[in-house]
Amino acid sequence: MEANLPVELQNRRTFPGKYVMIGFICLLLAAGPLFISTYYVNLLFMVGIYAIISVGMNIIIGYSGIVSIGHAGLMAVGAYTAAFFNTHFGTPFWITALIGIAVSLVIGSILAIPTIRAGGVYLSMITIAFGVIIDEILIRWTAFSGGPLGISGIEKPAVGSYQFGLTQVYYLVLIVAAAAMALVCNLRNSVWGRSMLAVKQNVIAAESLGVKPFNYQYAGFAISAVFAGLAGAIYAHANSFISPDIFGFQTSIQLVLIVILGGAGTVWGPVLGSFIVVILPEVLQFDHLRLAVYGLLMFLVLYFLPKGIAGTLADYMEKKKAPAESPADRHSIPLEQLLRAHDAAASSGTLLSLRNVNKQFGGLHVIKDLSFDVPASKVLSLIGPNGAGKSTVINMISGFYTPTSGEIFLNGQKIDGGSPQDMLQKGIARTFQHTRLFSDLTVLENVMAGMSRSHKQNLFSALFRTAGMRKQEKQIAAMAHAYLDLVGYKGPRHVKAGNLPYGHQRIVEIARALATKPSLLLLDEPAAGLTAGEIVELELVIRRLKEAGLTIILIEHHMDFVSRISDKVTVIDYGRKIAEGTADEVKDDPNVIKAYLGEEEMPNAENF
Amino acid sequence: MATLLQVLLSGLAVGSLYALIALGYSLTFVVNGTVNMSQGQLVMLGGMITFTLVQYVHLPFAVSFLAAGIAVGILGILIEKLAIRKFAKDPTSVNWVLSTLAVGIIIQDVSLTLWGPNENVVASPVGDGIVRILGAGVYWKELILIPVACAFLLFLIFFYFKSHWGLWLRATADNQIAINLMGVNSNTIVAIAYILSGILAGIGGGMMSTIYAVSVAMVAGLNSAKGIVISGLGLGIGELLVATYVSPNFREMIIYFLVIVILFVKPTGLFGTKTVVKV
Amino acid sequence: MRSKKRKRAVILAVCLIMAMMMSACGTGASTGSAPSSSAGGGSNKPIKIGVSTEATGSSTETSVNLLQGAQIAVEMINEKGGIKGRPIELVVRDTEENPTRGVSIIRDFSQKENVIAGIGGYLSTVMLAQTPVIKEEKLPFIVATSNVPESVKNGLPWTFGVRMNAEITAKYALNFMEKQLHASKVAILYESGGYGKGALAAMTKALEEVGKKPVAAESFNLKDQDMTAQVTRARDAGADVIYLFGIGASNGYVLKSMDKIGWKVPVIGENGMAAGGVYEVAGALSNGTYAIQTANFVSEQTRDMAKQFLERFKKKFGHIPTTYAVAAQGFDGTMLLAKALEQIDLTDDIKKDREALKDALENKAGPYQGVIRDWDKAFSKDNHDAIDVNSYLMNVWKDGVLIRSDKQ
Repeated sequence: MEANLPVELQNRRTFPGKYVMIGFICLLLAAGPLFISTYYVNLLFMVGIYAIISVGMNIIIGYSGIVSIGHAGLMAVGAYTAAFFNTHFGTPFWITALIGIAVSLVIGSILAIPTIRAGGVYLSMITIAFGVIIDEILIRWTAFSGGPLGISGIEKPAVGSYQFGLTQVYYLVLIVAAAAMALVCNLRNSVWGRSMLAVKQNVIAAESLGVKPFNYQYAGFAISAVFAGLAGAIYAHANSFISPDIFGFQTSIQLVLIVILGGAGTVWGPVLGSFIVVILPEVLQFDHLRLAVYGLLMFLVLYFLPKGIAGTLADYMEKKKAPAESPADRHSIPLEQLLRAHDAAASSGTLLSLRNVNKQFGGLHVIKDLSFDVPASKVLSLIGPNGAGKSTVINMISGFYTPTSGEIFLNGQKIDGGSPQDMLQKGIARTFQHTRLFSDLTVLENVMAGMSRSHKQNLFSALFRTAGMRKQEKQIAAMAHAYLDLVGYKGPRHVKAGNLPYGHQRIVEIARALATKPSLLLLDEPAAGLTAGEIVELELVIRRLKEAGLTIILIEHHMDFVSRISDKVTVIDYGRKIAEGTADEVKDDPNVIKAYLGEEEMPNAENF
Repeated sequence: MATLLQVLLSGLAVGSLYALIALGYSLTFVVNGTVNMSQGQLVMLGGMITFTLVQYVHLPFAVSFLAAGIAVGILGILIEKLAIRKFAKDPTSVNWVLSTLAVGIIIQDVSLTLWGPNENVVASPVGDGIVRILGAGVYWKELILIPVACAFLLFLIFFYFKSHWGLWLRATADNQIAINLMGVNSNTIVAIAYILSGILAGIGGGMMSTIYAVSVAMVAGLNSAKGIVISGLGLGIGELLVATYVSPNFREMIIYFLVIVILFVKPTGLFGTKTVVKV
Repeated sequence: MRSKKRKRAVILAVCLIMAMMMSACGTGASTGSAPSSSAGGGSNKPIKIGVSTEATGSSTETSVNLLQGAQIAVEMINEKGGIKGRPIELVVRDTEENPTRGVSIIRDFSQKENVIAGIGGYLSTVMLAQTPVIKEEKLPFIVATSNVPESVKNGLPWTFGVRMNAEITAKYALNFMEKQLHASKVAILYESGGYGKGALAAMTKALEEVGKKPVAAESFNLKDQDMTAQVTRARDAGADVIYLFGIGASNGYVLKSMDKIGWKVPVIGENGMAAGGVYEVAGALSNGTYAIQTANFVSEQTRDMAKQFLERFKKKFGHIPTTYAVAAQGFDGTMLLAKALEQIDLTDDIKKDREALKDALENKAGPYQGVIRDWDKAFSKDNHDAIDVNSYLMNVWKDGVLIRSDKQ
């Protein structure tokens, strides 16, 4: 729970309370086997096995929103590979585990591709289908798997001539589970973790920040496959026997239940969930309706505790005591470092131009033959009645739609048809008409997410939290603070963005867009929902940005705001440009008045 | 020759069943984006209730069948209300898959406790006779399936495209808020879709597990009725062909294999279409 | 806000439940057992025997016979005063048809419940998972159904089989086919799980030993209802007898599929063929099909112990056993355990007692006139299978009742 907070905050946790508790638990777990019988050690062993797999599944379910109901199949792959090599070639556990991991990784990676591409319920069905296929293969490919009666006689892990007993295997599992949890924790507080969550919560916003969803979901899937395969290999060697019915659909459901019951996306959720799912059948010794109780439990958790036990607790604790804000984190960073470097030559002339752009959706012709230029380092406002197509224009410039015909040029280069990630790379950033912040990330993390593309981290350094990566994280955090200062955000920074008042969210979204260091900023109704005072602040920010060389396109309905801030105004109605010029020129244009008010009314300029 | 005819006839019979059941699932998916994963268990429950009424209360088959259908239908609506409605609102969440799976587990276990694990067979109203066509043997009840399935298909097409209930169904699939604003209760429409889906599954008599049926519908394209019919028939025949001439071992695996391969190439299924999302 | 309060209440409730569960864990207070640290010593303290059974899942209907057989045995023993004055208490655990659970149950029996011995082993995969742990925990265990040879072999010397070893059964069946049916072209139709695969291996081996091969080997799934393809291939291969190893209803559907293609040859099975569902599905088609068992409870009982057993069973459960062999084996297995227990001195040291029991089983399990047969010594150091080729009984279906066959 605590480990969900960003880096700087972890370091100033209340010591020693938390550490003492963790230390105590560790001591208990380590000393346990000395005091309890093999029955309990075996149970703890199983808790550990499930924890290892579910820590991995937590990444894909909790961070990526990919609900895989077939991970028992990946566990089976690891288990059977290890068992095969051990019983046929006498390969010791330490090597078979590595082979098992490799094979699960390969198969998991292959499975990941159609799974991620499909999404939604299709995704879950594909994972179920995968589980069924693995089950069938294990039953029928007798030469490899020993058929439905499985493989017996797998050797226990050994170091030299010392064979592992139950206690030693339990320690092994404990260490592996703890390591897995640590790795996932590290992942969470890195570009990878933030990007995964961003994709899960708002894939469109993530794409607008240059994040390619597939890469991150794929990485998460691959990691979860490794953990599942490893757990399977350990299980096989510890129990000496495996059969296909151990890795069936029911096990896959149990794994999903563990993650959800514990709390998807939390650190301790998988452990908590594993504990409950393993201990429950041992305690509920009545003869009938046990499965019905499981089903009921699952249903109740989904209905009442969708965030799981750990997740609900974490939310509750966050509401109780908001984490401390420390101004000491914030170094002042000069403006030039925050914004894209530009040369004076490029700041004259046209940055962006649309030429004869059309957009049709089936039979609906939304944008008709639209052409206009956007001067560099100036503010252009795009206005028009509701339904005129303003957002559609923005979507085309930012790569979310492709024009049906016509062209868009950036600095003379043709850019229409590019994807949102392409557009971001070319320096185009945007905000959205309906704010698309990542609600479960903190305010600061949202802005940090804007730097995902510019501050790449490789997966290894993220998982193991290398020195270089930590330094990078500090830098990203500092810059994020600076962007928030730049847009004049004065609210709390370490609370979940979803809890902010609407006006604040809009400002944070602007900071996030700025974090991508664009040369062209598209703002879709930035003033909507802001108080008068906030609008004044917004004006100041936009002026500052313009002076620093940024080009800005604005969609707005607040006409006085538009008048004050715009260098140029373009008016469209029913997808066509009907007027263009300065704000004053456009205000008096009869076509514009007609478009807004209709023909019968007498125009009154002040009533815009 | 007799064998081939046997395969074709049995395959058509089974295939039309596949098509019917899969259509039922696609109905709810189109309307609501959800599928009742516990449908298979509901069908089983219906069968058990029918059996109990016939065997122990000595009601005639038709009455028992109807009573069971009504009971299961009510249960289906309850499930939709409790297990699906809350989760269907968020289009990205698949929690409804998990909650309906959970409901399925509950139903199965409760049935096990109430009726015991024995398999019970209800005497079919058309008897167990076999008709021989050119040396190929087909049970009467299998043969009847083909025209019955066709009749239901025609009824469905008429209902969906020509009746005003069908219009409301399609409208709800498109825009639930709008249809509510027009005074039609979208929840009722969704409930109807679920009832229809349940009836169709019930006719199948539990021949397919829910996962299997949903897989068929997905491979075909969840929103293409035509595609589902073609795929269902094709699968019925194809399965038996493989089973007879290649190996019976892989019969069930085919569809799951197809799910992965086809959805990889075309994520909306063979005949399905993609809808554009507004940014 | 109300939803916050409700959430807090739910969390509190869950924590309370978990706390209760943890405390339940610690004291070992679960239904059907009394907390105790050892089963030995004390004059009237019960002797605990663990029963590992499949109470939930698809095989419940057949597997319950094992438990019922054991319960009748315990009833009889306790009525006569128990073992040296101490009653026997059964500790029953449900494997949920899950091998991982099975492993935990053995540890539960051995460490938490401190039973002196266990009986079970209906499902082969569960039994195979349990055998290494039985060996590690040094717990004497009677394997009362699983027909896979390894089920007893993997747990030696702690496992003892009172079951129809698949290899021995196959030899018996082959003999019957040859002598009584004059059939030699065997088609093996088996379900794709452990039960069927085990039979396939055993019959193939038995045929190999006489220099022959099965003319066809076709598998089907337990849930299948149409096996036309498989029986067509068997017929086309020229089979004149079928060794059928599905379970219950699936066997019925095989018979129906044979009828569909108009083919009728003798059919021989084992427990799966004796189970419920065969007649319910196949009806009159089941007449004349054979099921190998170790007992038959429809016909007049010739053995005294069998008479007593049947009477008590009918009185306690209201019907005869649904699968004869499994019930008989559960009963005889428990009785053999008791026989061995009578011949050792129980101490306070459960580990020593188990060791002594193991030795007694190996060397002095008998004499005992059981339901299945008479034993002088049920087991020996080299042979941990109490049932041999002479203990079988061939049965035949007639109008929905499995009666003893005239041909043996």
